[in-house]
Amino acid sequence: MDRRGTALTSAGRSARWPRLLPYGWLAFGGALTFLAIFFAYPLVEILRRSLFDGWSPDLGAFSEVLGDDYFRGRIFFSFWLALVSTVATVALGLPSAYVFAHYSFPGKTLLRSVSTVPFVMPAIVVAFGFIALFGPDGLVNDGLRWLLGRDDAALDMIGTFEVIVLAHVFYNYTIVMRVVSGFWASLDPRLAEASHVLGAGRWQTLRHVTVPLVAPAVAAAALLVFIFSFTSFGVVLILGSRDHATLEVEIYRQTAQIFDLRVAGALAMIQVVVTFGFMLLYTRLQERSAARIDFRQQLRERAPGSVLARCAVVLNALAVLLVVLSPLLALVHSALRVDGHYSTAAFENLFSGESATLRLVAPETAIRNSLAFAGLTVLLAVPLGTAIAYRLAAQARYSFVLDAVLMLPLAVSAVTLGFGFLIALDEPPLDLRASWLLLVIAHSLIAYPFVVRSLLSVLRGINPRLREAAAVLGAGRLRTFTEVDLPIIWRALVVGAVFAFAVSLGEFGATLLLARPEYTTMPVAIFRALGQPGPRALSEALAMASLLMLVAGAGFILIERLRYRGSSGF
Amino acid sequence: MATLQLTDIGKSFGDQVVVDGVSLAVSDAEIVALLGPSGCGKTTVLRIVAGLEPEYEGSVALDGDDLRGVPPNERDFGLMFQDLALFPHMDVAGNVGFGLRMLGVPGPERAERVARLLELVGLPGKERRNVFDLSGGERQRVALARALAPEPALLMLDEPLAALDRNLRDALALEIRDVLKVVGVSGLYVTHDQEEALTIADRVAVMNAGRIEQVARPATLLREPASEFVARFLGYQNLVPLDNNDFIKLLAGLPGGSAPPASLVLVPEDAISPTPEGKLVARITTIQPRGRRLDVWALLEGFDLHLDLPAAVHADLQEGVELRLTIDQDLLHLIPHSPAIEP
Repeated sequence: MDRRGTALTSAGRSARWPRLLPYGWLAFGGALTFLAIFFAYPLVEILRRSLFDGWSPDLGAFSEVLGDDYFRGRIFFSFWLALVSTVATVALGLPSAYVFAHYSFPGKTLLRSVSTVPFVMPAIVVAFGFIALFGPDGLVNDGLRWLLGRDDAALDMIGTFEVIVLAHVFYNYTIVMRVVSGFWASLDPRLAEASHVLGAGRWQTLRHVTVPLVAPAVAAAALLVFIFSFTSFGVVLILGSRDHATLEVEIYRQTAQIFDLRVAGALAMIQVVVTFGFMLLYTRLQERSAARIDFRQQLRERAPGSVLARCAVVLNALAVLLVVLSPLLALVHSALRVDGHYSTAAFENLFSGESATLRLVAPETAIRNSLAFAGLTVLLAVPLGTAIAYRLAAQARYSFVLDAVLMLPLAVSAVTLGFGFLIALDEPPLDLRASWLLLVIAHSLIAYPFVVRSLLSVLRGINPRLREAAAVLGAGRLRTFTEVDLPIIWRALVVGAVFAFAVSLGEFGATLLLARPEYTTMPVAIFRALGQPGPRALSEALAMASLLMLVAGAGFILIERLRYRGSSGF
Repeated sequence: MATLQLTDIGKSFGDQVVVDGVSLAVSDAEIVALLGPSGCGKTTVLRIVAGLEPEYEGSVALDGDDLRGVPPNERDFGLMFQDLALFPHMDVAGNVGFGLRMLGVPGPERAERVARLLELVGLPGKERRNVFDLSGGERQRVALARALAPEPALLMLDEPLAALDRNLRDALALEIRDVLKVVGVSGLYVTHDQEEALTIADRVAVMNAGRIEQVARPATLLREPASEFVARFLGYQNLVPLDNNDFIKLLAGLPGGSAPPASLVLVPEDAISPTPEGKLVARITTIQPRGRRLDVWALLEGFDLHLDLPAAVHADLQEGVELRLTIDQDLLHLIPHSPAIEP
């Protein structure tokens, strides 16, 4: 009580000063302003270009697009590809989710981690992995040549519909597996037991109890897969032939090659409306599936008992390893194989200063650019995502609506975003087209939803009394943040930061559209190398893709080490 | 030292009035309990005093200085939360020493004071323990030590024992009172448990629906509850309407003064004793065992009188049987009737 005198003086002083504005609202206001300028404004600009001529309504672009067989075909194909990809992914993911939710087996944690690797892999790496696997000189054809004793490529899948679907399965399998198995494992096992006790047999229980309970989670995962497949860009551009152009690829062509911005705007608008619709459906489903279920008792995992169960576990492990690892291993294998021999020549060429292929930009420049943009993206996306996550965590009512709105950058495709930047940020005071800042901003918009997702559940779990306790014990607002919040959320913060880093590293669609030659990143450099003649070009591109894979993989290991055990959300 | 003065405190959430015109003083080294049912607004009063609810009507003053606008970290108060809110990322010493660290107390002195505090609350040498590994009672003590560490002018406790079982609660209530008295800090203790309040406090303020019904020392409160709500909240059940003439005429020693006709007469359970020589004859209607006590209701001149008797002594009582009683007329108390109050 000896300090009461001083405490009272300071109390008296601050009583005369207005209370400081809450930092949280300031930060959220800043984040909203940022989103309004760099996300909403470009989208509105696209809308204006496609729906208006100057200021008078003009639906010409739309009737042009919708009346054209070719464009109608692109729209139909986008839906068809997304649908087939989703069905294939769910078909493969569901049995896997069942095994992960119900059985314990050695190496389970590791297997679950491995299955998540594709999620951080840049699209360009995945595409090259599939080329290395299924291409004319790929592993599969090498094997077939050896087996069948033939000289030609027995199974050239590059440019086919099937290989794109396979790549989408590779990418999204983990979404179905994680979301559904996490949900399935949290279902109260007493529900099924109650059904048995009430006289329902195995199949009746499955039909009337299990399926209706799990269905919302499956539907939510499927919707997410659909959105990602619908807006897929890099994989389709590289692996598909000209007939396989999705809306996304077509927007890129119209913008970057044909320069018809009106048509591109109309296409982007159609795509945005579709993905917004699916995103809203997704958030509503998530709400419903979360609200309806009682999560009291957890399903107890058990060791697989029957022969059938053992087979399921082994098959699941094989499937995961095959699906996830084969394209990545094939990529490294191809990069290490030069003229039929194993050698590190391709890697050495990259840094020898006489790289034959990446003529537009020195490889080390691309690597430096990529790392710099990724670092700057972290610096921008983490504060942005943190400010938004704090607001969402504090929001009591309608938080799911706010959540959906603030997650929209996840649903809008990167090419559309880049296109919006090109037409919106082209005049003073916001003429950023020539600036590297534009790339960092684009990457941050695509990356911050991952920071939000990573932080939100941890923030919602913090007992608000902890902050009040710190305040009563003499900690001011900032001190409370550093003493209470930060120690609790730092893991989630690092996970979010690494995700942001990985997203920026692999970002392809927006960068391809926006980057000036001097700002070429690794994915863009790899893509450009593909257009160069000669085998050396391909092998150097493969080597660069391998490097990119290693960096993404290192980030992934960091995420898995820091991620709170059992958190399965996206 | 410190005197807290609350004057006409009011607080609404939307159109719901939670606290309505509360005035209360806590003088130096005094422990005042704020007693009331859940939802009566007592925790809100505490949060207003702590500075956690910056918007309110009326004034909160410490030694005459109005605290409006002073953030919680610049008030000289300690607060022990209902759910304790121990920092999960710090050990026992980290928790207890937090407030000292905020004051800039250097490490060695801090360690010494933390050790002294842990000794005071009966946890000597547990500095390095993880708060998760402690028992419920030990966590309470850590929370108490943490709240006391910065030597606050006033310590507030928000139902700190609500989560504990009965036996531990009784023991800890006494212990908390002792610690507060040893330290000599003023205390504002919020609880819904009348036994806890009467054990711990020098004065008790009974709150109902956002208003204070009565502030008094425990003995006075028990002897002269000021309202039907207070009487019923303290557990008294025999509140006889003054217009029940048949019953009232049995009571000779009614307190003096002109009572309004709607008043109630409190016949405390402790004033009623069954004796063979008793002049009053009641017929037992219901017997309900309650642990070592018996709840007995007996009809006396149209009033179903409640008796609270030791079970072992009155094991032979039966329903329908007559019971002779005496009522200690000195313990009767007249209460103004207040309508629309739920006990």
